[in-house]
Amino acid sequence: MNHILDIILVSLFAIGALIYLLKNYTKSASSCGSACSGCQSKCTKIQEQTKIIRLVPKHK
Amino acid sequence: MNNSQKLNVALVGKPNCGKTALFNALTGNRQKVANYAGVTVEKKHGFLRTNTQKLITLVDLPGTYSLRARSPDEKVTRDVIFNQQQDELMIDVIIAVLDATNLTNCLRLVLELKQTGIPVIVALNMSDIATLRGFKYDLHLLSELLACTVIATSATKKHGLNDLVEQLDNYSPRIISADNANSWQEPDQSMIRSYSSQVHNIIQQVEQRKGVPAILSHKIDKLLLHPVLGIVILLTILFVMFQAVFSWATIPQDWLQSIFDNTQNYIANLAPDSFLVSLIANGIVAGVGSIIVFLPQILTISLFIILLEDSGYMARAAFLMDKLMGGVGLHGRAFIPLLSSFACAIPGIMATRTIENRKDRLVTILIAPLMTCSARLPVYTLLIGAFIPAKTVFGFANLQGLVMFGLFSLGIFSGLIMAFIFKFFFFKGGRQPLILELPIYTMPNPINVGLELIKPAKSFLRRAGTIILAVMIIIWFLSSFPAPPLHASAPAIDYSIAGMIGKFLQPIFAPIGFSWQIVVALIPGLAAREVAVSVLATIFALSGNADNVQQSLAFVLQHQWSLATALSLITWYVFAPQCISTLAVAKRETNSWKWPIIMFIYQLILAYGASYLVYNLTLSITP
Repeated sequence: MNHILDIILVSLFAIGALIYLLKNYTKSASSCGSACSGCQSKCTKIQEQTKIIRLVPKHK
Repeated sequence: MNNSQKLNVALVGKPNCGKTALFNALTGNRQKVANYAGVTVEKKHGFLRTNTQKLITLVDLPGTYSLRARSPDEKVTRDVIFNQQQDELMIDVIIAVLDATNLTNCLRLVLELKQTGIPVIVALNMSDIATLRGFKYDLHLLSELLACTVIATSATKKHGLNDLVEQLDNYSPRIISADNANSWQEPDQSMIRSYSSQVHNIIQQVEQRKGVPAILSHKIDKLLLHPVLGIVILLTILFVMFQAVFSWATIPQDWLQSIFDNTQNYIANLAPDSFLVSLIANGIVAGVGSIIVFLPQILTISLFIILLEDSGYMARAAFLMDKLMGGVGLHGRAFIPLLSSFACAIPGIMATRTIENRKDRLVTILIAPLMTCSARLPVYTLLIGAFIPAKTVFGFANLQGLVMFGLFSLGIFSGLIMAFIFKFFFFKGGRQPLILELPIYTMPNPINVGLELIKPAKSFLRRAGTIILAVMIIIWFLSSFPAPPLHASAPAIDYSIAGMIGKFLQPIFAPIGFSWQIVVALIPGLAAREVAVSVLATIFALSGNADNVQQSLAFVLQHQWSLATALSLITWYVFAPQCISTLAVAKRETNSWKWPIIMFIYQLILAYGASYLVYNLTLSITP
């Protein structure tokens, strides 16, 4: 009985670790790589150059 | 809170005028500040409240000389100001940050900002240094000529900050509709000439006394920027840095090692047959502990870098390296991204945003992972400590430190060679010169150095406690299941999933001398390079008997690997594309999978080829 509980516990740890890594790397792929040290949390997609910009917000 | 009680304020100014220092001083943040251009390449948000409880969202933006925005980091600034970013705040007020010691270079941007129609407040920053150097301006007249409030500030001394915050109370959020919208047009050559002429006139009117040049800094520069002596001094500084890694850091490392070894042994003996106890002892303590023991090395290198940055030397190092980098066709601005890559390739790749030419930017992105990032340090330190004798050579140099210095140099020179190849064959084009403002030399502030040192320590420990911990739990699981058959003669790990994967892939790596254990370590090493050390610690802990659990990983490796294998693995780590995050960021920064794939393939070929050479050469000369 103890042996089964033991295996269940380590399996839960492994599943938890796997979920954490998957979440972390999915997030880092869409941001600036939270997995690395010294990285930014948010990244800006660089816009193409435009000569004239109207000062109207794209969103309210 | 109603909307009138909220205000979005952007900090805008030329590079290296103290925007981030002002941002930190106003918001209590501790974003990275340095006295050279190109440190901020992304917007950052912080918050503060005025005396009337107005909530200010302060946006720190990359430095720019003009809203014409030629490089990607400058485009970030322009797009935030013009609200061209989805999910970005609309800026209500701009604080134009000016370097009071170099007003001429800053004022054109203020004139451009005035054209946007967004209210502008001028913060004449670094005014304490300007006063010390004898500069004196008529701020009242400057305010009249620019038609905006001008406040003298010093972010480092925290002068003028209250006045600045009080001013923000006078503004309300902007309301813009399509009817009253302004159009901003990029200034053409004639407008730029007109701005320059206006700047000249303003300076003539407001400058009551010209400052004296920084004489001491000029004198020091004559020595440190000397074409020959300067390079010798730079190499000496780097040499001392790597010597220190092995001389200063060894004692605390041994101390940490013994703590983790004893803890592992103690836990393992609590219930030798329990899986949970094995997970904690052999997976978590052995794995994560084997990385944490390298904290002293990380701190030693970080200390040197912080001292070099704070003193003003780092900009000089960029200047000295420019000739060498120019020789292989690299852009002058490539130095700062490559320097950042010594901490981690990801901020390094992001820092290439300061390079306006796309071809030059791509070359710098492609070679950034060859710079020796801090994640390689544990692997190098472990293998050098295990296989290179700790003896003195040439009467003064520690051989281990010398080898570490050689590995860092190998990363730099292979990067330069690859840059030359890329530029010569694929990205032909002229070379852009480096234009760099050299800061004056200053004595590093011990409190600031201490606070800055906490950052890499926290980052390193957080990584060990999160990603490396998670990877080690999985590795332990894969190394422990399925259980070995009854009467099995080999260690249990040989029958595990990790053992099977390692043995399946090992023939691919056999020509470069890698055992199946190394192959297993390389796979999670893609998530974080240094995790390979942890995996080896766990594998050997699970492979061994109770006696050698106490032995350090370095000792185990010494007795299980040949010198050829160790040198081959070190060489692999110099070149290999061992980091998924780096590839992901390269994809995002280039907007294409093409470049990360090229990066991965060329690094893989380089790593395999170099390891093959090193392995076979070492086998042929060792008994």
